[in-house]
Amino acid sequence: MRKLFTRYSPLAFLKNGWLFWTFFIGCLVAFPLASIFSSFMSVGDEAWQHITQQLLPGYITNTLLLMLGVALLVLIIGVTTAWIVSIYDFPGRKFLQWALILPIAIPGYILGFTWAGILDYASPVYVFFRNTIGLETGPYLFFNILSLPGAIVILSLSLYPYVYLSAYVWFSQQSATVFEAASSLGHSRLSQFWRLALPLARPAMVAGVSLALMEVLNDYGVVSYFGVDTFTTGIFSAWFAFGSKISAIKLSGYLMLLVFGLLLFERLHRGNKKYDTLKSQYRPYKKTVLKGVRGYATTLLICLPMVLGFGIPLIMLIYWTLLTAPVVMNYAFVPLIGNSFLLAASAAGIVVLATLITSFTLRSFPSKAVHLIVRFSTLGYAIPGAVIAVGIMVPFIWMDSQLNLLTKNGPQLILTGTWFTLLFAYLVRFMAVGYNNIESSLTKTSTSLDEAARSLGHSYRNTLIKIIMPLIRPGVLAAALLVFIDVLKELPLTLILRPFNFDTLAIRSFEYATDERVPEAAPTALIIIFIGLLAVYMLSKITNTWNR
Amino acid sequence: MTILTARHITKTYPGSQKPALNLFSMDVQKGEIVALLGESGCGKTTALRILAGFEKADEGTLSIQNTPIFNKQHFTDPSRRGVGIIFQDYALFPHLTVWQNIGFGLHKRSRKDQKLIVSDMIALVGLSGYENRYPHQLSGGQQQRVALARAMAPQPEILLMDEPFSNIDTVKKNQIRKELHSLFKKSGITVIFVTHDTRDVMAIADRVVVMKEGQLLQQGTPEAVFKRPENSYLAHFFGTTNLINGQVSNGHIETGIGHIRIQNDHKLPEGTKVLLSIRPGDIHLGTENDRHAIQVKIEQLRFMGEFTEVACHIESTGLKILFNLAPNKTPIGETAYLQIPEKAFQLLPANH
Repeated sequence: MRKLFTRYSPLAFLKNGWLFWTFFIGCLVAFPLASIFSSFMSVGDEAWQHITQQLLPGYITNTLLLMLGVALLVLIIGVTTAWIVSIYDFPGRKFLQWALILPIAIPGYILGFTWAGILDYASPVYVFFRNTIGLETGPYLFFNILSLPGAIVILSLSLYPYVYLSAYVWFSQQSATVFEAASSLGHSRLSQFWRLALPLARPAMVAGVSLALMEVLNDYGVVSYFGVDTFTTGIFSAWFAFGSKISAIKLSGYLMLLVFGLLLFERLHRGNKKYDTLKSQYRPYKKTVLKGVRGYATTLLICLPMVLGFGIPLIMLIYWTLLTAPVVMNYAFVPLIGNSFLLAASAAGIVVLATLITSFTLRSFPSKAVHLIVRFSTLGYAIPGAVIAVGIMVPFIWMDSQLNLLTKNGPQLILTGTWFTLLFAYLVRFMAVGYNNIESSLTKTSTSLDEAARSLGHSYRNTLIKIIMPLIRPGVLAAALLVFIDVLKELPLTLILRPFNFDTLAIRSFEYATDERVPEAAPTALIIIFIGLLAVYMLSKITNTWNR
Repeated sequence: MTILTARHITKTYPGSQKPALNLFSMDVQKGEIVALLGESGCGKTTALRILAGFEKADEGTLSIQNTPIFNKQHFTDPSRRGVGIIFQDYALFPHLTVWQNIGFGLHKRSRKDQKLIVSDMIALVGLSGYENRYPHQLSGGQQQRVALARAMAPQPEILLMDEPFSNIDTVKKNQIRKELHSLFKKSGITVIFVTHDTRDVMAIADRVVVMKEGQLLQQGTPEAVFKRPENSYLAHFFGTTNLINGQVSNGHIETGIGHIRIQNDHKLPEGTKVLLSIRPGDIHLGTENDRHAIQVKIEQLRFMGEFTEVACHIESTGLKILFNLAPNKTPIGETAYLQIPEKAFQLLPANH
C-alpha cells in the first residue's frame, strides 16, 4: 500500500506526545550541528590564524588523499572479492563468504597498532627475519607503516567489508538471466563484470564506499597513531594542545562541509535508479567450479584481505595477551570492564528507546514533517565523533560557567564531563544504527495489526508495547547489540567527553598503544574484538530466526 | 432504527488532485448488512477507514446512534468508537494464541467476563479446541473466524469488513458466505463490508451501496440494483448485459430491434435518446411464428458451465446481442428467433 501522508499543524507537535518526543529527539541531534555551524559567524583567535596559515592546507590534503586512497582500495578489495565469491566455486568458498566480513570486528585503531607492532624493529616477526634469515632492512621491515600510505592500507583492510557486504548482497540478489543473456550474446566473464556487474552494482558500491568514507572521516585512532595530520587530529590538537575551543569548533565546521559533500555525492549517485529485477523470475547464478590449481589460487587470493585484516592481527593479539595478561589484568581491570559495559548498555538502552519512539511515531502519524524530522535525527552516523563531541562540549562549557555564576558556588562541572553528556553524544551519533534495524523490522509488520489493536480499544502506547514490541524483538535486539559494540569501541567522542579519570576499554587500549606498549594493549583490544565477534554471531542468529 | 449516519463525507489525500470520497452520505439501520461495492479506487475502502477512524475526513459528519463521532469540532479516537473491524489480511496478532487474540479487546473487562465472552465467541465461530493454537497454525477460513470473533467480542455497534472473501479459496467461498450470513443474522449485528465482487453482495447483503469515483451511484437491495440499474455502468457492473440505443417516439421506444413498448414512467419527451439494457438471461429462444420474434444469426457459442452464452447479431442492422441458454439446449442451425419479454427491458439514460 502506498504511504499516505497527513499534514499536522505546529500545534499538534505540542499536543500529541508522540510528535512532541520525536521533535524533541530531532532537536537533540540539531543541537551539536547548530553549535558547529554558528561558529562560522564568530571570529577566530590567534591559534586559528596559525592553524589556517600553517596547518589547514596539510589537513585538507591529507584528509582528501586518505579518502581517495581508502575509496579506491576498499572498492578494489570489496568488489572483486564479492564478485568472485558470487560467481565462482572454489575450495573454502562457503567459509570465506562470511569470513570476509570478519575484519569489521576489529576497530581500525586496533588493527593499526597491531600491524605497527608486527612490523616494528623489535617485533617477533622482524626478529625472525633478522636473526634466522639474516635479512636486514634498516629501521623498518619492508616499509614504514606509520605513514599516509600505511594509514590508507590499514583503514582499507578494516573498512572493505562495508563494500564487500553491500556488493555481495547485491550480486546474490541478481537473477542469473541477465548474465546468461550476456553470455549468449558472446560476453566473457570478465566482460560481464565490466559491462554489466559494475554499472549495475553502482548504487550498492556507492552506498558501501560512502559508509567506509564516513568511518574514515570519523577515525581518530589510526591517523593519530600513524602521525597523519587530518581534520580529526587537527580538532584534537586545537582542543587539547592549543586550548582553542573556537579553532576546534571551526575545524569541525569545515569537516562538516566535507561530510555534507560526501552525503550529497551519495545521494546523487545512488539516485532513484532502482535496478530491481523481477522477483518472480529470480534464479540464482549458477557458480562456475574452479578446480585444481586455479581453485586453490583463488582461495589464496580471496582469503588475503581476511588474513591481513583479521587472521594475523588476531593471532598476534592473542600471543601478546598471553605475554602481558598477568600484568595488565589486575584489580584495576574490573572497574574498567564495568565502566565500559555499563556505558555501552546505557547508550544501547537510550538509543533503542529513542528510535522506538521516532519510528513508531512515523508509522502511526505519517506526515512530511515527521518524516523529515526522523530523517534528520538519523544524520548523526555521518557526523564524525569528534565533531559531535566539540559541538556538545563548547555550549555545555558555556552553560556550566553561566550556572556557576548563578549559583555562586565557584567553578563546578555540572554538565561537562558527566555520563549525561557522553550518553547524549552517543544518542546523536548512533541513532541511525538503532533506527535502521528497528525500522527494517517494523516495515515487515503490517500496519493493520496496529489498526486492529486500536479498533479493539487500545491506546497507541499499549499497541506499541503489547503488539509491536514483541513482533519486532529481533530488530530491537540487533539494534541494541550494534549500538553496544559501537560504543564499546568508540574512541574520539569518548576521549573528548569522558569524565575526568574515566577510562573505557577502548581508551585504555589506545593509551597503551600510544605509549609504545602495544603488547599491553592487546588484552583490552582482544575483549573488544571478542564482543564484536559475539555481536556478529548473534546478529546472524537473529536474522536467521527472523527468516525462518 | 438508524445506527449510523454519514453526511457529506469528503476526503482528499494530500498530494492527490481528485477526492477519494466526494460528499458521500449514507444511513445504516440496526441489524442491516450493507455492502459497499465498486471497482478499486472508487473510495469504498476510504469510506470504511473513515468509519473506523483510521482516516480523518476533511468534511462532513458521522454519528453512531445519534452520538457524533466526527464533525468539525470533534473526532472520536478509533479505540473509543465501538466499531469492530476485520481486515483483508485479518491482522491476527501472530505472537498471541487464538484465545489471547479474541480476548485482546476485552482488556477493560474483569477476568471472569473475559473468560466468559471469549469462550462464548469461540463456540459461536466454531473454533473449540483451537484455543491455544497460534494464527499460523490455522487455515485461512479459521483465521477469518478468529478475526471475526476478535472483532465481535467487545460487542461493537457496527462490524466493518474489508474484502472479507478475497483471501478465501473459490471452492469454499459460497459455503463461507452462507455461514457468515447466518451468523450475522443470528447475532443481529450491524455489518458494513467492502467488496468488488457482486457475488458477495448477492449472497449476504441486505442492501448494496454502489460507489464510483468517491460518490454514491445507486443503493438498494441487491435484486433491485441488479434488475433496475440506473445507468449503463451499473448495468455492466452487475454482470453481462446487452445495451441497445433507442429514441422515444410516439410513447414507444424506437430501437434497432423494432418498437419496444415501455411504460414511459419518466415522462420522457419525444426524441429523447435512451439506452435499453437487457440481461442475457432474460432473453429466450422462440420460433419464427412468435409475435415480435427477432431473427438473428448465431456467431459463437461459449460454454460457461451452468449455461451457454450465445453471441449473435441481427443481420439487417448488425446489432450484436448476447443471450444465455441452458447447456443442454443448442440453437438449431445458423438462424435463431429471439423472444424478449417486455419486463426484461430496463430503460437507462443515454451515454454522452
